[in-house]
Amino acid sequence: MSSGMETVEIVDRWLFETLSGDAALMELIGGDDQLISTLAKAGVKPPYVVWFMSSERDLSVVGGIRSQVDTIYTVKAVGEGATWEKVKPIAHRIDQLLDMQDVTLPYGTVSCRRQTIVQYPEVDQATQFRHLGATYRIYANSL
Amino acid sequence: MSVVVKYNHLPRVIKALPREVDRAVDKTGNEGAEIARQLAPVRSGILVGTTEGKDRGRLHAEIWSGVYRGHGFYAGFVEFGANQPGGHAQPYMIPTAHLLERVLVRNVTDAVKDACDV
Repeated sequence: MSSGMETVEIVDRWLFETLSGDAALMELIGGDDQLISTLAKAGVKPPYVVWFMSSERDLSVVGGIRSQVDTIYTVKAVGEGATWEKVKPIAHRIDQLLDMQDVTLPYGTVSCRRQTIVQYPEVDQATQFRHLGATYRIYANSL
Repeated sequence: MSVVVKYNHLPRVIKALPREVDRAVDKTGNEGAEIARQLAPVRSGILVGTTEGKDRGRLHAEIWSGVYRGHGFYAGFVEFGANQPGGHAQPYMIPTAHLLERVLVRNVTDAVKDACDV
């Protein structure tokens, strides 16, 4: 049985702890102020890492009891520049930290698998930005 | 005296199966487009107006939203976000695909039953 709001209480928390706890990633982006959950903080300049829930559904067992949640999260690096060079090491590190993770935490269990790469450029007033990351399927249970 | 009746409908099932499953895939694509239109954020209505299911041949359907370099070209920015202020992601295609996993299983199951109902 799983309870609570697993996306906020388990998945978001695990993502922040995992990403902010990695010294290599922090060095690449310049600290955990550059980690953004869903909505950008004012004044944050690239490069930064942003994640958000793309989709969620509950998985229930006999009796309608929720056993876990099945979520899809997008986690990506955003950088300024006309090539992928700046965001590539960041996205690569994110993938090393998140893909194929099955962890039991004091507040729940998490199972994470990469699904698809997310990659696109953006031009804003002649300035190019690059978005590179992936969608991850994350199953979570509150124990 | 005993009578033994032997049936072998397998060739007819094998013949009907691809046709029925293909129909189920196309149906799922159209249902997905309908779901995506309901989930799409609406400002001008262009995303809703350009979201449609397309039959792409045998056992293949696609759902498109926005026209490349045309109306609704920004669908990807809506789905995954932009760097600009207020450019946060508002996913609607991924939730659609997520929902469609179960719809596809149901539709294909029905198609297999229909194929066997020869």
